[in-house]
Amino acid sequence: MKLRIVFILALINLWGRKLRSTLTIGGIAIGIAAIVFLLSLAYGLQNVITKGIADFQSYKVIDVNPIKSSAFHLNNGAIEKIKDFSNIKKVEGITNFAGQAKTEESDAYTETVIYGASRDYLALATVRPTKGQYYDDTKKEAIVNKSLLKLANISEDKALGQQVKLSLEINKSKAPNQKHEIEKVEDSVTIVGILSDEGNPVMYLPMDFFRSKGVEVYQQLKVEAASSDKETIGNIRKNIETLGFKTQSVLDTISQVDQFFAIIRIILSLFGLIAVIVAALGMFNTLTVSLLERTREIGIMKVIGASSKDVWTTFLAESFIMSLIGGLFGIFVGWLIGFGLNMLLINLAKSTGNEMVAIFYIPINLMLLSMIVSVSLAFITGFYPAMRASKISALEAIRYE
Amino acid sequence: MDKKVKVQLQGISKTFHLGKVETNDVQVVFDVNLNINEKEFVIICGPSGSGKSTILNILIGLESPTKGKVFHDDIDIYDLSQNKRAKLRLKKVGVVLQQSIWLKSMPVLENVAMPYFLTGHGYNESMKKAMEMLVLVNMASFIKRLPSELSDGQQQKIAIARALINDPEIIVADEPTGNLDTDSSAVLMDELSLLNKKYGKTIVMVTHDLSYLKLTDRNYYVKDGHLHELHFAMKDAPDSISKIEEMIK
Repeated sequence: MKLRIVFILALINLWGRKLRSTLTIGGIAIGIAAIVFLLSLAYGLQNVITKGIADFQSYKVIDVNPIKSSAFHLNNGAIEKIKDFSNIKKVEGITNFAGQAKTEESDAYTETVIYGASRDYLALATVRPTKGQYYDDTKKEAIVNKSLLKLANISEDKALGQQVKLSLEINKSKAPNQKHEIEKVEDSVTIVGILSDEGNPVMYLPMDFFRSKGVEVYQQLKVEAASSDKETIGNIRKNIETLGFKTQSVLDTISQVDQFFAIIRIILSLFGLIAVIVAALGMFNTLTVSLLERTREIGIMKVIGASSKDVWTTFLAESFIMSLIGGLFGIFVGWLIGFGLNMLLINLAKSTGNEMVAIFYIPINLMLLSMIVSVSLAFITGFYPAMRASKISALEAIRYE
Repeated sequence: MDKKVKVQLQGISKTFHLGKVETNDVQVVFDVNLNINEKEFVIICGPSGSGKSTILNILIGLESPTKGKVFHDDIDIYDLSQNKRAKLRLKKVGVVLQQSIWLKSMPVLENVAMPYFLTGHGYNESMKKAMEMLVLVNMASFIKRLPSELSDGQQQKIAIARALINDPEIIVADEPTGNLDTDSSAVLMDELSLLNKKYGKTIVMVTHDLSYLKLTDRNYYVKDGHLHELHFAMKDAPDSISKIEEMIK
């Protein structure tokens, strides 16, 4: 019998038992919707957390730190060596010193951490002034945070363009922990940018400022790769580590988050699976009861000329159609609930002025997986009743009461 | 001119095995030989339990014989697989049972269309053909009803429509009037006679009603699994089992 005929026959049979077919399809839809809903929550939360860790640009950035006991230093020589590796776009360093800052008018200095970094480094480290702008690397300009402004009694409105006097001790040793080459420096810089951060007081100065004072060693380097591809990042890290440094990437954290959510997804899938198993048992029961009820019908079909294969494929087509409709409907319902809750949260965030987040996300793979689960269900639950139906003797079946 | 043999039963025996012990085996058909020619109307009669329905089931490929061969147009049907025998029934044999069995959820039209549909015809085409068959048996006004809503006589008429839809060469009827009142039985027999005489269908009918013996070309009587051909002039058609018993002695 042609497949088209099999499906029409299966549809006629299902249509003839509308209530039972609808309830069975509903059961499958609930099971699939549960899986889609729970997994889309896991995917959505993973997305929210991953985006919170870093933006896409950060995936390309590798942090390079010296190993404490090592004799290898992060200096210009190391930067040149790193630049020679393939797929390197940029290498920038940072150094820091304890210092003091005050305005011309003020009598007392305020303690602060003073970083030396190029504006490219700041961009790689996603240090962005919320007011003003980045400094010019060649000028004596500074970016400060709000805490420093507060402690130094500088009004935020008047801060940009304000001259600040600095006093700091610079360690010019090639090994950063050695204190024997310390030089006291006093100078003035102009504030050109303000950071919104309100933690410890910090000030960023161009790296050239420190280079001119003889500083040659960095505390940390940031390496920008040409691509965010995991393999490329991995190769660069391996190369850098051969120079005697340790490396870190935001991909490490993201990989840990991915691993964590992989476990969460398995746990949530198991919960969803319970609903699917209940639905599967329901469908199996429907098909088995239907088989008993239709024994005489199967008998007459065979008497008038339906082959065992025709009966087998018709039964299997019935379970396939129920699973297909149930699966599609389940995916739609799961998506609809997630979409509704996303809209609710987004509107709530809008009204309270918080950041808008979508905590439900359904990737295409999840939809495909749900359809595969649903269709597999058809074969698992439909196979046995279909086989039994096909093996029934026509004569015994028409005599069945 | 000799008529072509449509169906041939050669040395058919059937034993049912009840349990695993051979002494429990029951032989219900003994060495039956029967030729059914094209366009013939043949009746096989006999008391209940004599083995006539078993012979009929063997004839249409539903029950394998223990011994012997069954030919449909020179094809040994038990050399074919079960599925191929089903296809042969679908295309060449129309079956009417004592109590018609229907696909309960389908209306009359779809039930009648089913054999045509099974041969691979489209849904609409099958429904059209079914309508033609129902017009033929004067049941066109019942197409949307469920078969269970019809009387036994009406159900047998639509069973004939279903049996005819694939234009089979042979129609096999197992006690088709068994559940019917006298009037309905007469109508049904008229339909079958018409199919034989007007449309040239070969008909094999199993019945225990001896009043039909005068309507047919050849008649057989089954007693304890043995098949006997009955020879009589139309006016002397036997009307009781005792007369037939006398005849076959």
